[in-house]
Amino acid sequence: MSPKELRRLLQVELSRQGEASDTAVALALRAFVTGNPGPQGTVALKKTLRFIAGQRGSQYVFNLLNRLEVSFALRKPSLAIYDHTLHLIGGAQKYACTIAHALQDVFDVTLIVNKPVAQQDLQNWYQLDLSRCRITIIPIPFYEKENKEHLDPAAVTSRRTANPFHIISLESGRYDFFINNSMVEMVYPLAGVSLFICHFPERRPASYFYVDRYQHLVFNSRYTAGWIVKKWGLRPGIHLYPPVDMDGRMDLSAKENIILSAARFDPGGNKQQLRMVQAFKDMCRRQPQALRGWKLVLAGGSPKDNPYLQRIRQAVAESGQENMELQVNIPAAELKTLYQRARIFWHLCGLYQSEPELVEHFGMTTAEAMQNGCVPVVFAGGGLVEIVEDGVSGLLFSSQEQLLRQTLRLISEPQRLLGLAESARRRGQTFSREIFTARVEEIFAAMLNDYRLGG
Amino acid sequence: MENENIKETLRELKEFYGAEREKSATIDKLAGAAVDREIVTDFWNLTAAEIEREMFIRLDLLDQDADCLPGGPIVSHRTLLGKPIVFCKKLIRRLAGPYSAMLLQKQNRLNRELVTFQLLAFLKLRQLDKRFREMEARIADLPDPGPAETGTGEKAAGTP
Repeated sequence: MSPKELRRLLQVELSRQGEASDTAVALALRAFVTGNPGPQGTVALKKTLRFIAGQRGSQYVFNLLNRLEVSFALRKPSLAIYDHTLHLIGGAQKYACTIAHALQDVFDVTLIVNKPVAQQDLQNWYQLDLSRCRITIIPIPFYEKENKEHLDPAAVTSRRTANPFHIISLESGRYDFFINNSMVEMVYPLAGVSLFICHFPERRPASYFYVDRYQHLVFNSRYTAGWIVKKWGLRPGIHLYPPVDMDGRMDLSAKENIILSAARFDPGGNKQQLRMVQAFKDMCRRQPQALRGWKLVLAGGSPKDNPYLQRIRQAVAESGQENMELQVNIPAAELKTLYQRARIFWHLCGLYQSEPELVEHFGMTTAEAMQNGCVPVVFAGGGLVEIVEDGVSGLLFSSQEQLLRQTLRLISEPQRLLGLAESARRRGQTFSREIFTARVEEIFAAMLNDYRLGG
Repeated sequence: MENENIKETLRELKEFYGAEREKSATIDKLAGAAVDREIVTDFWNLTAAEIEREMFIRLDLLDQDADCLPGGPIVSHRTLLGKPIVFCKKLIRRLAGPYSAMLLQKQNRLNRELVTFQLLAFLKLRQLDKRFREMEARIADLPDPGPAETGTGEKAAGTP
């Protein structure tokens, strides 16, 4: 390809927008570089790049050069995952770390954070080897002033302040691939390939909303996808259920008569443990014989001063019953033992809630319980209906009364309980870390192949 | 170009454009176009919590804007004309001050009262909403003979 031909082709392609035109430009440049060795070719290349920079800016040319390097296999592709709450334990953060873990051999992976976090902590929290990943800490001055643990994106409006997240937008432009796992819609992606992972669209499009500027929109459940369409008017792209790795091998018939709840003791009461205490008390009152030997165990994490947890403790104490137990901030290993011991799993998050964000977007603990053969009796809403097949691998309910009736019936039919436990365990495997990892590898292999220009 | 040659050329070019990129500094320049645009919120489709949040934000903005009395320093960024301009502005403010203050103070009082009234209406609405939710939950918890033990057949809560 001669410099003239290249210029003509670029003029056409640069007048268009989108991935296809970017690929066509990169392909043309690669052909030119390969076909024009020597100093003359280099001079022509420099001239051409100046022309492109004049049309599209220096970032576009920088991205092109990045892509050519990867295409010629001169280096490993780089990938950054941004998460502003990686310093706190959470399901979404586990999602990001599992992606990093899955891709660290193929990509040079960098985890971009705003608050310091130790690699060892991430490895311990999620039981993942992240030794080939790098952590880059970029503090955001706007939030540093407040010195808060949580960086609340809702505090930013165009009227109050300039976009404080542009510091991350700038950083994104250094990488071949950029993944925003932060649920911060205010980061503008500048990398060659960009993905926005949506765990739930909490805010409506407002000032500094750039989700539509990402090439790929990943969602964690069909429930989330529905709300992406409704709240953002965007078409969700890649469906990727969260990774769940609580798989336990045990004899299902040797389980104990425990009804377990595993959920954060949310100070706002969203997980509804208080209602569980009331429901269990009510069940014991109605059928004391059937409930003999059964106990309710409420496990979950909680901040230090939690008035909601105090209310639960008080309700348990006032009930005068000894078959209710609270397990607060227990280690993962202990929680796993509880899953293995319990026969039934309760999850009420979303019951009587009209706000979509107060309904479980996916429900990781339900899938964890199922992997351990606990029969889920869970609220019929949000992502939970995607995990539990009603009457096959668990039971769904829409009211407290229904929860009581479903549970009492289960307790009185041990064979049915055992059958459901088997199915629940099988179903739980659908959400395993292995399946998640395989899917991540498959998705990124296809993207990387395109990025490498098939090279 | 040989592979090593390509590597070296691309490295050099990347260094150059990397530095150019740093110099650009603004997102608009790097993105090749203005990234911000006017986004109009469709209030009609907001959920109850979103409406409450919007009300709170608007109330906060009203509160910030309630004071309409002239305030703040008078400045000019012009080098030569700056000083006379600032002097004139100060003079006008001083001369017209007593008259405009009479009108604006009245407006200010009205603004304050309106903002306070809006705040009270907002709080009242919140209280009513809370009571309504509590009643709703209590009604839902009343024992009912409900036919279905499995397969509720109802639309899942929160489904858009």
